[in-house]
Amino acid sequence: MTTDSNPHPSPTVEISVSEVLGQQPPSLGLAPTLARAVTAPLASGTDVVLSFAGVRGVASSFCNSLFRSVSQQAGSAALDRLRFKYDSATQELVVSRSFAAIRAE
Amino acid sequence: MAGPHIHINYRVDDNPADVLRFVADLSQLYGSGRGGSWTLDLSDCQYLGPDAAALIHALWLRAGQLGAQKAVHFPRGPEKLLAFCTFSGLDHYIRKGKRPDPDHEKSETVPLNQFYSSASTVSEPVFRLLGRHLGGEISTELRDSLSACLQEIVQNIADHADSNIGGVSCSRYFANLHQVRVAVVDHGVTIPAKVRAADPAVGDDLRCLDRVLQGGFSSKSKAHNAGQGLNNLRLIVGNLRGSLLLISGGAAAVMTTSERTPRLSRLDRPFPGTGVFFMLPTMP
Repeated sequence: MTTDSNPHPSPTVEISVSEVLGQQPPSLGLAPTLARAVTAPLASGTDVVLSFAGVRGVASSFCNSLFRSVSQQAGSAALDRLRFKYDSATQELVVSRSFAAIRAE
Repeated sequence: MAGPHIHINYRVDDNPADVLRFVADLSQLYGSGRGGSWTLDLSDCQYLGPDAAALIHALWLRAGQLGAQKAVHFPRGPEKLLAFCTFSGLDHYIRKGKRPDPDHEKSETVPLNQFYSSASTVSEPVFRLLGRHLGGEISTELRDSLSACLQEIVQNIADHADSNIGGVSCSRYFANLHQVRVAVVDHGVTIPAKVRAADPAVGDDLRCLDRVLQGGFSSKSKAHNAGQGLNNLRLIVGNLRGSLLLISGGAAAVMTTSERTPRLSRLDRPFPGTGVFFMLPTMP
């Protein structure tokens, strides 16, 4: 027998980075735009899956700025309700290390 | 012309031994300002790659800003080296020769590019070159890795280097070796100087370079810094079994295809900026 520890999971929305910002490597200046798109559902209790599929590369500075903005706007606990989808091991490396660094601040 | 005359009579391939030897020779020319003069004699050089081209162009630009009298004697051959001088833009930028055509069917080179902030001005020409040679065979992993590496390097220059020449890049695809090699050079504040400004206790240049390559150390020059850029670069290049040479100030770090832990060494004469030279295989 298994027990479902979370019988009433939160609603989840998937946000595509490429749909919000385009496929080009996201520049640092675009981090606030994506942060707003991510913060809105988090603030209303919806979990977010952020998909980097189709995005050509991603840099730590962009991710740091994104996660700091989300943390400041929605609260650091909101980062717990943020998950990711990747196109490549490199995206995962950059995004996950940045995410861990900002959560540890 | 009075002043130092540096005669390069060896191959400057894109490997740590050649590049470090070349940097050591060029060190006699760095910092020469108004009233100073120098000659870089490449007439007996047999090979130059993108690493050497970026170093030469950065030196030339900085010397021009400082008002030094400067001269470069170009190679007399072989034919492939003369072609590289044309395709890389060395001939154009230094001798006012023909402007390089990166889309020429025989070109495997992304010409020298001076940039100040945007990583895409560096990466897009590389993708165009690879696209022309590899067609649709650029893997997602290579695409993302190349892009991420260049973004980290360019952002580092923008955030920390305060380089008067910005950055200088040059790249080349080697079809026979299935490699892309990229060089990015600046003449700004060195990594060790930046690290020591944030934490004087870190130590000498070698320890400073080691510290940033380990990750987690940030000078916090900008709010978006978290000390991951160069560590990410190292990990990404290592994951793809590429190679990396990083020189900054009085230290160098070498990572080879078989040795993923960077080997650090001290330079006899400091490099007045930062050079990042990396190779990624274009086939898994």
